[in-house]
Amino acid sequence: MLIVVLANSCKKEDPLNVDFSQYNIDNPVANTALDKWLTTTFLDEYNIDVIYRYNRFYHGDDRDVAAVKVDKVQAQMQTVLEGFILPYRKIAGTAFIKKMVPKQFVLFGSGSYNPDNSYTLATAAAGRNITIYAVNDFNVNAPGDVVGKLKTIHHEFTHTLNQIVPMPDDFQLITKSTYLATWTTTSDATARDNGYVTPYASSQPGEDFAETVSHLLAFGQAWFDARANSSTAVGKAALKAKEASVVQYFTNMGIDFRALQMEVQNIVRNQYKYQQASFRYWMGQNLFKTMTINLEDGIYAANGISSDFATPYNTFKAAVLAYSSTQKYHLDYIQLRFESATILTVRAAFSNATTQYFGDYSFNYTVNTTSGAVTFIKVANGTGTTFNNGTLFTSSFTNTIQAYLTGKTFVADWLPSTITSANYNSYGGFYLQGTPTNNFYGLLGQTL
Amino acid sequence: MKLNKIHILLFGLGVMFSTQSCNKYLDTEPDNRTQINTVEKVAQLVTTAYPGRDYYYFAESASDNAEDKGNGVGGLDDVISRPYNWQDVIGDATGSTTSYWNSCYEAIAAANQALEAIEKQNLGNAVLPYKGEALVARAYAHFMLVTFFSKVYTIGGANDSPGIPYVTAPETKVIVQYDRGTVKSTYEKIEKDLVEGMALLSASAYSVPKYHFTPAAAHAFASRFYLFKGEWQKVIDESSATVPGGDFFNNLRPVNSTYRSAGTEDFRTMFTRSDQKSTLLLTEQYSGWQRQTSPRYGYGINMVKMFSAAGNFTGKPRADKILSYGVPHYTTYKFKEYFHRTSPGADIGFPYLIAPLLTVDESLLNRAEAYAQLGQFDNALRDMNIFLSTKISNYSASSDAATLPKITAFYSISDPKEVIIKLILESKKAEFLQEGLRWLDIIRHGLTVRHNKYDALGRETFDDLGPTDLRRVFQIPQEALLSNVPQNPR
Repeated sequence: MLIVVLANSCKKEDPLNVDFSQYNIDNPVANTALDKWLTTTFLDEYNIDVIYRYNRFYHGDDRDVAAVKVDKVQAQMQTVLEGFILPYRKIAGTAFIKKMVPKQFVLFGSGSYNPDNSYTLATAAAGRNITIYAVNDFNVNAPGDVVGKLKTIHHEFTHTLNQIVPMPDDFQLITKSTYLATWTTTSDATARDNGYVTPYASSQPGEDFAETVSHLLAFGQAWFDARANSSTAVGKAALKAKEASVVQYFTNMGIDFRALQMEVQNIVRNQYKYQQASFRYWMGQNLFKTMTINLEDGIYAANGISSDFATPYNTFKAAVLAYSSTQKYHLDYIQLRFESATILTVRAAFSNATTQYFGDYSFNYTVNTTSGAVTFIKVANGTGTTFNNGTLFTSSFTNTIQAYLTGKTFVADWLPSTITSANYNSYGGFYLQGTPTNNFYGLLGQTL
Repeated sequence: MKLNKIHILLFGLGVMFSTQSCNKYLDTEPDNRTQINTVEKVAQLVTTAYPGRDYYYFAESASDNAEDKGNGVGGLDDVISRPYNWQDVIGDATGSTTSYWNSCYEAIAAANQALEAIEKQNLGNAVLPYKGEALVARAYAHFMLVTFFSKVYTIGGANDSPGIPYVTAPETKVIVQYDRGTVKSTYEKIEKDLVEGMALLSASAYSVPKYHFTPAAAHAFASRFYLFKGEWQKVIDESSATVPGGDFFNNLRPVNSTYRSAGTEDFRTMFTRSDQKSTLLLTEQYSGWQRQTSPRYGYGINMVKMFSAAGNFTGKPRADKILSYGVPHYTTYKFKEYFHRTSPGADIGFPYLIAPLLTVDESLLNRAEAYAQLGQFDNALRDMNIFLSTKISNYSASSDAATLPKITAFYSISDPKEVIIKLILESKKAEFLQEGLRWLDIIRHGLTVRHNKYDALGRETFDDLGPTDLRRVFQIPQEALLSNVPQNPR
């Protein structure tokens, strides 16, 4: 079951004045185009019965629930298909999804209102049914709405999985002392600090598990990491332990969770264009503190690196080596260190046979979280040992790396596009605005 | 037990039988029934002198610990719905008033059988702890009966309304006629058994003492008894004797520490385990109370607020576990079922729960109330602060201690005695939610119970059960009419 808290708002509504003679009370038309689409897409392929015609039986007689608007059905079910069924089908296999997918989807228009100032978004039952409420407020043009609905579906399907393969015991113990059924009175900050993705997750372990899975899949790893980073030390450890438990649960079922996450995120990022799943958004949030580039790493052989960046990098590397014939410094990596939302330190890590040194150069940077435009501006270096180290190579740095970074407008994006699921969440980069082939990318870190 | 009566009867009838042969035949027991002729057998028999059914269903449902969650919400079960609507429960189903009545008299019968054996057999001093246990257990069962099935004891009143039959001898006839006596006479007999029994008890007579009336458990029962009688100094003395060295703090339910940090399943396993310091008397009871996950009338959305930060004067929530079987079906999750399988090969058997009948927590609250009644407000508040320091989340002695100005402001009651008692009763209500004790405070203090009711259209109305309402006394089982025990007026 997935439930949200109601906002405490007082919306004034005009008095209802409806002339019922103008309405067809009920005139179901059989075998419409929608019915055919549902039949071929879901019934024939997956043996899923999609029930959208109003039937009180499916929501119980203690609730008042509105029927779904017919024109919302296809959009909702399209999301189910592309954001949930197909990613599972690709990663977990056709046999898995055909067996496990709930055989009945029931759609309702309004939420199912609970007495505790909340309403139910969806329920999963018996490993065979998912009922989705509040479909009428589904706005296919609002990425947030679409991803929110997608999260709900993943939440419910996790319940379905749990109803067939029980969730791990260790998960239930991670924050065992802070579950409270009165979650509507738990603030988001309290839930976060106690190690939950949402207040609803703090209601009980089963919901916690489903919320953790659905947020990892639909909102992505960056969202999850940002949540963990903003929590307390204990809360962060709990969230990361829950993530590990979730990954293990899927591994035990023979599903590569990271591949599944990548598959769902590709839809969220590329098809739904969900702003909060973009690299530029998280750059703006200063989630990623470091980007480390070492062109000797195999990732660059596997995914390629544009020569526009490789040339200055290698030129600088040669200059570092040439600096001292006795020390023979080797450039280990270049690291972009985003100290704050505006301050950037570019670090060259270099080593002789025994010791690694850091040479630092100060920059400012700007990020436009909407367009993704990023600019780097050289400013006077800071002071200290690392900055002194940097002065050893000032002239070559100025002519290579600094020359490449400054005076241009880059766009922040998840790069490289050919990344595999193992590294999916840990690489990002920048490309030259208007020239995507001119780019560089590196390993992301969340601590300085 | 020899069957002499049958012998005489046969002798009178049977001219064809010789007395000799008849004697030989009847000298042998016709069945292999146990003779209660050793201390061990007495001890084992007294183990069954405790009510084997619970009062949770009707005491909780009739009290203000239950609310109507809505028309069509949750399940309907007569043993809950009828007490909620203050109607007599019909039949003797699990959870009914009749089943509790019968279980109390079964417990009394076991006690009486044991006491008769002790009287007839010469068992020496070793049997005395079990004699004491039988007496106190007999007093307890009668006390709970008079509490539920008679008008409440009025402190300083005539108490001449009908009590309940006080049974002191084993029944040897199928139907025995009884007199209800009065509440006053019932209380006198309870006190006599209690005082006599307590003097004989021993803490070391048992392998698992928490299932017996140890001295500490008997003190806790006496504390409850004298609270009803309004003998405040005795309440204080008896309560203080429930813990060693007067150390209440370390013997209360650790709600905001051990219980809070436990996982939900761990908590449920722990709560009714015999190693819980607060628990003074445990009894296994045949019950389905732990299975009542989603009743229409019960612990719902309004009840749960008593645990919230707004539910007490400290502005901090109580640290209790709050779980739900889907909102609004909340549960304290206190009871873990013990399922006794009658067949190892099948899933059939009998559901039991382990009921904590007497606790240190209750005794401390009783003492606080007695202090308040005697005008010793500082002592009362000190007890309440010991209590609350184990219940409130992140309790801070400096900022969360109860003071008269604070609780006066919170409850808007200016009389110091009244406001302290209000705090005590509210604290007790939250502590013992789903454990039936609230009903005892309701009748003792003449509190009005207000129940909401939803009709088929979802309209909410309210019914009140005032202090003089006849329905505050649960109905005596119809079967008891056979023994000349009249029903309560309606």
